[in-house]
Amino acid sequence: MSAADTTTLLGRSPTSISSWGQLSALTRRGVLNVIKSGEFIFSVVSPLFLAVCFYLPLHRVMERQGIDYAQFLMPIIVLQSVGFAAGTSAMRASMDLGTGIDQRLRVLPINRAIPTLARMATNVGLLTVSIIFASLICLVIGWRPQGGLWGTISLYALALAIGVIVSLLADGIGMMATSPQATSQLTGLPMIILGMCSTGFSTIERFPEWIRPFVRNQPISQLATAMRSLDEGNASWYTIGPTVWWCLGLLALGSLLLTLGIRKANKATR
Amino acid sequence: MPEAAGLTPDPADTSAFPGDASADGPHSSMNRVARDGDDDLRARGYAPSTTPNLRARRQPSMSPDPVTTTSRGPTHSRRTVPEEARDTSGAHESGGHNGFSGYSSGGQYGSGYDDDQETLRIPITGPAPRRLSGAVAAAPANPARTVHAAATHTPATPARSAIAIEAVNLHKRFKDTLAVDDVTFSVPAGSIVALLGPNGAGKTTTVNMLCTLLKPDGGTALIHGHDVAEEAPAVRRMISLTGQFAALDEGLTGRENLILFGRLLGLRKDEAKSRGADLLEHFGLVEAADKRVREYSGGMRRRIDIACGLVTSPKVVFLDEPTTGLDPRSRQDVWALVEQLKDAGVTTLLTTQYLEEADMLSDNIVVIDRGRVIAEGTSDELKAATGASYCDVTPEHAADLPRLLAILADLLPPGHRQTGLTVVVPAPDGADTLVEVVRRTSESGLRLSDITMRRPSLDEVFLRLTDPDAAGDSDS
Repeated sequence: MSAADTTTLLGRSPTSISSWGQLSALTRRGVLNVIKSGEFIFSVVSPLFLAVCFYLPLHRVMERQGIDYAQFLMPIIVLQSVGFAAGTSAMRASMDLGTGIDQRLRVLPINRAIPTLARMATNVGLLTVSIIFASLICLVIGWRPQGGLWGTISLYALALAIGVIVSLLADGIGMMATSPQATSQLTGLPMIILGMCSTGFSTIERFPEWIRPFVRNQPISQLATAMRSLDEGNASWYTIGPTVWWCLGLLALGSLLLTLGIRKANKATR
Repeated sequence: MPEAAGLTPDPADTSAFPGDASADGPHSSMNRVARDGDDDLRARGYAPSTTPNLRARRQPSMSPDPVTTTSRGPTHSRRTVPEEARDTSGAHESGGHNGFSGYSSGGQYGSGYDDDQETLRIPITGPAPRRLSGAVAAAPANPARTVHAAATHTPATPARSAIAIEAVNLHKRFKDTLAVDDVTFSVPAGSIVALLGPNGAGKTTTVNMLCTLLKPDGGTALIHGHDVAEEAPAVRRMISLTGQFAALDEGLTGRENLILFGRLLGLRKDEAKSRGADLLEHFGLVEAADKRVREYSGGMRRRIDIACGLVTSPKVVFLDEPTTGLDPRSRQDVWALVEQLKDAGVTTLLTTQYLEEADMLSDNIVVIDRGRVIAEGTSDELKAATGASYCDVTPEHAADLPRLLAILADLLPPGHRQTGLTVVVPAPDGADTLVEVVRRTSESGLRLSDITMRRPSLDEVFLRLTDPDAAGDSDS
């Protein structure tokens, strides 16, 4: 064996390792995966799907009641798209654990928070794409921003914040779940059920009376109400307050799940 | 590279294993003559030209200080190369080897192994772990007890920097399961140690504790002097782990994975790219570089997995069952890599269930069973410790077998079970047993087709060490 063979076998160990470099490398990995797996296509398809399924059959019915349905539907289209994009975070977290790369990362000189932060960063990218496409489709069906500059900025900031919080929650669920398949049910099903039973697609009056308290107060309805008020430029603590509390609650739950998930991942090693 | 220097004539060499000529026991007298001839040449400082690479491989590792044990004089490690592999090494080199491009001699290893092999003797390096050699010389009659002496190990004090891995009384429990009870061993820097044990013995848990993945419930472990529990970040900078299953991003290509790990280990982007390209070439993966890892074969997957751990320069490499599930060629590739790592001065700890792998690759073998170290030493020491030689006696005619068994009955262990035509007679008295067998068969006019002395195979050693009943037998 020649000396050169041994020379190429080992590389150089840098004296210092930049956490930022690690974060950007892992984020790049996440983005590459999102592109390669075609996940970003769902960010385009899901708002389109919602618009076609709800706007086309219902807009005449709603307009007869004096409701501009494109304007009414915009928050839930954005929310569902954002929720869908965030939900894929669960799948990615769970896949990382399943394939053992998480274990490998834990043997590297890397801060424990970095893999999770990188998944978050990847999600922010995916969420941004989702929000852009949802907005474009809403514009096509007739939605127009009416909240002024700050109202619109706040509307998008809230949508993104919700997306990040749901990502965190989904990441925690993904780490706690036993398999990637289980995560899709754990994250997807509540989103669909809550979305349908919300004031996002229809007004509260169209629900049976017995379910109205649930429909009115459940988080998706509250989030849709808050976004609608920002979009219409009539936001107040009355419309925004419940959303703020829901966000804080979900953030706490997400952090708890994430902590438990990391602990579970550590214990899983044999 | 001064090949012959690796085999500097050593007056002690020829006497280190006085019983070898008979104890190694080839199964034909012709083989024995040929091999003894080689030994003779070697003792005089000549290296047969058929095994240059192996001999060269041993040389750089002869640091920092050869061990002297009180029981044997200069300690020797015996390295074995299957004869069939030696004969065909040239063919491997010239053939289209698909494995590591930098290692043309990978084909030197045969996948099979028995005692009918050439033997090399090379001084081993580094401080002596407390292990079998002394006990072996002192009390060969009671091997089962001597091997347990390994558990009383205390941290080595001299030449501490030369110790790469030091595990002392490691203990780990998972709820109701005692995964690791008490594991103690040390590994000199630049050497290869094999953790050998059956499934569930605690090998992977031990590795996971050494790699900072698990915190020990008791005991300590140091990697180049850094405590795995207290100084985990420092330890992580020095190690690389390849687990039983590829731990890569399967959605990314081999190249992308290498760049990813390069960046995670602190290389600049351009540096990570060029390092990735180097490794792809070194590991023979250039053609598959831009394919997703999930499309890789088992062998390629293992190679890219190991390569990802070598983007920088780890001091200690952990390979957890690196050849499990691989085909013979891929297995040879991994073996070749382990030898390359040794050449590069990297300490390697591998876990394995394959005895031949432990025997062939490692400088030292630590046998773990039920969470405890039950034996430690070179394969020769283990063989010597767990039993004397065997005498294989084969009658010329199968019909003579019952008569042969009858005349040798008192030499056979109680409950002897005969399989095949060859009668395996324990030979506690070495060649005297052989003489006795020949005397008895001659007197009764029984013709033999073959009679050979051999040392126990590592399989026999392993089964004996990990099987309490067998250990009990040997005690009695």
